[in-house]
Amino acid sequence: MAAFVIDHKDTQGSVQLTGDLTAIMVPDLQAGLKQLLQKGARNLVFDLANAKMLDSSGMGLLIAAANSLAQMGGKVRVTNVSPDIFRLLQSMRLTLRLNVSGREE
Amino acid sequence: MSPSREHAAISFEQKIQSNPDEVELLSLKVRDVLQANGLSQFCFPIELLARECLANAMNHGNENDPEKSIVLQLRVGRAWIRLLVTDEGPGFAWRKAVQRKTGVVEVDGRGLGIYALYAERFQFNRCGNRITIWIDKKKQTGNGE
Repeated sequence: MAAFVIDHKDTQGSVQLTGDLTAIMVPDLQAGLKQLLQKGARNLVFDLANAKMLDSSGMGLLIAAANSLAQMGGKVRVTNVSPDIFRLLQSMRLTLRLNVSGREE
Repeated sequence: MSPSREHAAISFEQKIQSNPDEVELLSLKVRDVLQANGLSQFCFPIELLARECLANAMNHGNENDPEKSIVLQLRVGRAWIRLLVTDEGPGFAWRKAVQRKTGVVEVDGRGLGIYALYAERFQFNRCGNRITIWIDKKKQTGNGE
């Protein structure tokens, strides 16, 4: 079973993670994102509300998506990240690049 | 007390074959071991470090050869946590890798940055097929500054 749900309307796309964003799920998610871009999505929201873990492969996927969309005039937003994941992305200087926001209290 | 002399309250070791499914299961096992021993506050950094070490061992060390194995050892003492990961590869040029800077648009190359972020100290053996990481528990819980 896929650990994510992808939705799409016009140029807006969303990816709801149902668990962690780690190396094991990157290949399937990459394939899903490729289809999403082919359908015309230019702005993507990754919802990490259910993710406890993000590793360097998951970060790489988010950066690759941001790089691809930037070339098309679009952008990525990463929302509802845990405090641990926010600190990690902040330390990697990625919060601006990925438009990261934390979970609401 | 130095980390090498400290008695280990928790000692866990597992050997896996070099493939993504086993790496994922062992990473989750590390999380379970920490949670089961009342160490949930260390789950994120230790599991993340384990994931990065295992991924490097599988991809760069064993060069994705599923016939080769990886051994992970986790020891938790009163003040220190030590993570040790060994692969069967010929090693890699870690001296060059630790000097590399990763830009914000680069997709790869953040593993060593993650070691530096969470570890008090990390050290490769001479050829680079074994890494030892020491984590200061007080610093991870914000009580050691």
